[in-house]
Amino acid sequence: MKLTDNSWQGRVWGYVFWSVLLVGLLGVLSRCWYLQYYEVDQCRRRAERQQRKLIPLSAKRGLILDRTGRVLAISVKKPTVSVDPSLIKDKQERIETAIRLSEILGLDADNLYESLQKQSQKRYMLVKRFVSQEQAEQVKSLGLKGVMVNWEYQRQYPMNELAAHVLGFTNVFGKGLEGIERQYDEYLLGESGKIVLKKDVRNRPVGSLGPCVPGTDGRNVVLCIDAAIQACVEEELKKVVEKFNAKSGTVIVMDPYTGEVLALANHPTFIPSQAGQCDKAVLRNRALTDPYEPGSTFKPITVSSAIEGKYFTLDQKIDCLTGPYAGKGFGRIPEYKHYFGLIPVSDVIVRSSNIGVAKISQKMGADYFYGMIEKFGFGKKTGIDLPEPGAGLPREKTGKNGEKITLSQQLKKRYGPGYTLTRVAYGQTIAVTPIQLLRAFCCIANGGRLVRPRITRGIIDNKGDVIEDFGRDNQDAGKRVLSEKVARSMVEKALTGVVARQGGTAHKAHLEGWTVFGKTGTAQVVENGRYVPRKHISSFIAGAPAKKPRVCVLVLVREPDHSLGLGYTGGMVAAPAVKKILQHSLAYLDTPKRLREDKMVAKSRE
Amino acid sequence: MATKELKNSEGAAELGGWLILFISGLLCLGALMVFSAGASLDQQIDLKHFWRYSTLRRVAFVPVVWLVLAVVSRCGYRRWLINERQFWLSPVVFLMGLSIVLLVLVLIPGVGTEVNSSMRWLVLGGGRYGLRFQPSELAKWITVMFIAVYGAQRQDKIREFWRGFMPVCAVLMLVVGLIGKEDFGTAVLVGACGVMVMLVGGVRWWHLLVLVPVAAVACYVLVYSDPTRWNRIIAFLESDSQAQSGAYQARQSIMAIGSGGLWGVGLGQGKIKLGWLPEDTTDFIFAVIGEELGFAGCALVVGLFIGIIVCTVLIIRRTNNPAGKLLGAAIGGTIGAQALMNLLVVTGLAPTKGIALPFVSAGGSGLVMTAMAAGVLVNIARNNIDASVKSSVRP
Repeated sequence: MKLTDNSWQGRVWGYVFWSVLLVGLLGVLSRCWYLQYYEVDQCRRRAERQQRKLIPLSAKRGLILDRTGRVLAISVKKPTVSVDPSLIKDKQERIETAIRLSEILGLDADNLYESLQKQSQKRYMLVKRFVSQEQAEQVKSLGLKGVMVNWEYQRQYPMNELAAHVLGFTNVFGKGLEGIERQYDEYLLGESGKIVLKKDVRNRPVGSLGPCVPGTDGRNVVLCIDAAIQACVEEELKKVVEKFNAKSGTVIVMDPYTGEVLALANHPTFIPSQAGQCDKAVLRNRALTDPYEPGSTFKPITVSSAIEGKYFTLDQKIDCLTGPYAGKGFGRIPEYKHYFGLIPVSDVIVRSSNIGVAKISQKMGADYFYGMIEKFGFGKKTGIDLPEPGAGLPREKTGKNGEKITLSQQLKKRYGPGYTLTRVAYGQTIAVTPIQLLRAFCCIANGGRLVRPRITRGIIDNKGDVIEDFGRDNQDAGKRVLSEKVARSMVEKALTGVVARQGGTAHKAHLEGWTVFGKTGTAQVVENGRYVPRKHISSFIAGAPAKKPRVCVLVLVREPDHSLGLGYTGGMVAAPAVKKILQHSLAYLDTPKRLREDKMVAKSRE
Repeated sequence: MATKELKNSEGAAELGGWLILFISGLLCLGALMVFSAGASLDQQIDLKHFWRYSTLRRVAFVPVVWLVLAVVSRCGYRRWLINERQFWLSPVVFLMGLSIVLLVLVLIPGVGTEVNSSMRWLVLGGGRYGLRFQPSELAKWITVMFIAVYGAQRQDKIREFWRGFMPVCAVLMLVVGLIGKEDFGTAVLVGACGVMVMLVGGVRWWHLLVLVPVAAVACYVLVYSDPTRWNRIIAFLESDSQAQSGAYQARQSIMAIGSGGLWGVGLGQGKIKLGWLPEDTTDFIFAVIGEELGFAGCALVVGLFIGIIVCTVLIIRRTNNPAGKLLGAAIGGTIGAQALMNLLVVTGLAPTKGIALPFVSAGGSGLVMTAMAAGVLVNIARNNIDASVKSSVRP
């Protein structure tokens, strides 16, 4: 009886026991069903994500070439040493790794050890980028655990600082940040390919998860820049800035007919591969960004506008007075040194008369004159194919209601209308960028067409086939601003005199072989809305030869040191540099020397 | 009566055959999957030293297990009963004592061998064959068998607290405590199965209340003393914590099972075994089955275990000997409970602990011990008349 009594209770417990087991196992089965039927996609995605190993095949960044094919920027594969710190288990190993690596790579062992210690849980730590081939071999031969040598592309600039502001620079990953590198980044980058592999837990590949996609190398950019002219320009600019102890300087050399920029330089400059360590101000391409009051270099714009509008002819006489020109609404206008009395309009340019251009502008009136200034391209971006944040001051802008406020509308509102009108005439109260000014000057030089400045000729691929030809854009480019006749007479009667005549302001730029034409400028520096005494921007804008100009040059020297006693005017500071640049580049471009031009010069000397 | 018993016995003998079939099914599936999971690019297999590779060893264990099953199932299970005249020489009692001694020995540094930071192994020598032995595997089976035999043979005393319950309880607590020091999962399994066998054997359930505070304190001490165990439990409760924590294995396992889908990615095609799941050939073999064979494979494995449980229930229903009944229930129940615990862990329904899937996972001594116990169960199926007669004429 006891036995049955016992087994009665036991049997109940037995049933409980078996039921729990069966229910549990069925529960497991339903869990499997849930996972394998409802969650299968999610689980597979997670598994694939975990087991996928993506090896990027980095594309080679394209070259940047000058107009003749000289290499200005190139990407080179270089070894990079990195570590998987998680594979280095103990302190002893870490110390050894740090010491051995720093010996070879010339690093500080303590620093390296500390970062290894700090990032001991991480899977990747960069030790040194772009080491030499020998160093890489040495590191490999050490056979240290967790140390890897990969190959990465390093951007190199074989000509160092040559054309630095045009080229710009990239970050270490090869992304363009400034200049051409940024402007044409999408062409230069290329497309990186990839291999998708299956990996095991130790990151070793065990099979593929898709086809191998090879990368495409970046396209090559061909510049309009000519390295030979650029080198000469940089040398001359450096010399002049150093000679006059100036703050900075800018030079642009442009083909007046096509708008192609043959050289563009700023000083102080930098080496693009070391751009990271440079002062931000040095990296700025001042030729495109910094507006300045052009001063007298603006006078050709004023005078040619007046002649185009038939308000004056170049031979017409104008009274430039013998003392300051003063009147109601425009204040007092002095000359720089001498007063000229009654002179022809062409001499207003040659001798740079403030009173002359002021009177001319008054005769034109604001509407016409400002309209012409706009036609010359001021107040707007030039459209050069470089990052161009500046467009001078004032510039065209959008009002509150979305309407366009043009340059002339803004000029009319500046200060007194009469004051502004007469000051703009000789390049005050208006600020322009160097590239804007040179473009407007090219318009006069090339017979009256406004060209679009270009820094790039085109894009070619690795085989040399042309992908894009930007030169064609400029074939018929250029809205007509001045009639051919007006432009030619401006060059031949007025601007050549500035250089050729003894009394011209830029006689120092006179060349034996070619007829140079140009205009000097000595603008006062504006700080906090006031002209600062003894701070000038000395510039000379010129072209040659006068008959059919090959190049136009703007040399701009900011704040030459007065105390040196070497002079500070455009004619003294900038003109000799322009002479050298013209001499070199015209010879380099194989420009025919003048034959009959002498006659023309003789005529203008009369 | 006689005819009915005869029928019963015939039916039961047939059940023994089914049992062997189910076990063989698991065994072969296990060998196949362990072989598949163990395939890796790390090592080239040198067949002259096949015993060094756990996967090949596992395959070699299939005939060994069959041999053990055949031999043990031919030894009358009565041998396992306690002989009152030579109490200490009865195999169950003797082995129980031996297990306890071995469990103590394995804890002594220098005698036990540390694997995965747990002292669970005794190296038996055998030189390069590296025969190792896990005393807890022996202790697990002997304890539940001892409790079953003891309970069945002393039914009159078992309901008394001091004379019947306490001695069994003391042995169980000792064994669980010794195992739990190094192997928490097995300790929980032994404790649970021991208690269930006691209950089925007729122990009054309120006597077991004594165990509650003891178990609670033991759990607390054992779990809290070991950061790994504590982390595993925390990781299970906060299942959203990072994969790096204790839940890593469980997450990998769930991912593997789920990505198998209904029919699996194909034998040998699984990816989880590429090192993502460290215990892929042992405790987490079910995850590899789930990935490579899909729901079909999972259902097969779970079905085979359900088959074993159903067989066990039918065998003990057709067995007349109370000792045989209880012994059979203890063995079948423990196999089922171990399988359930393993599957709950692998499917992420319970916190991770180190318990193998019976007959499927790689691992030698556990496999042999389980085969031995299963052999006893098969023998019970075959010998029930004889046993029932004997037990009924027992003085």
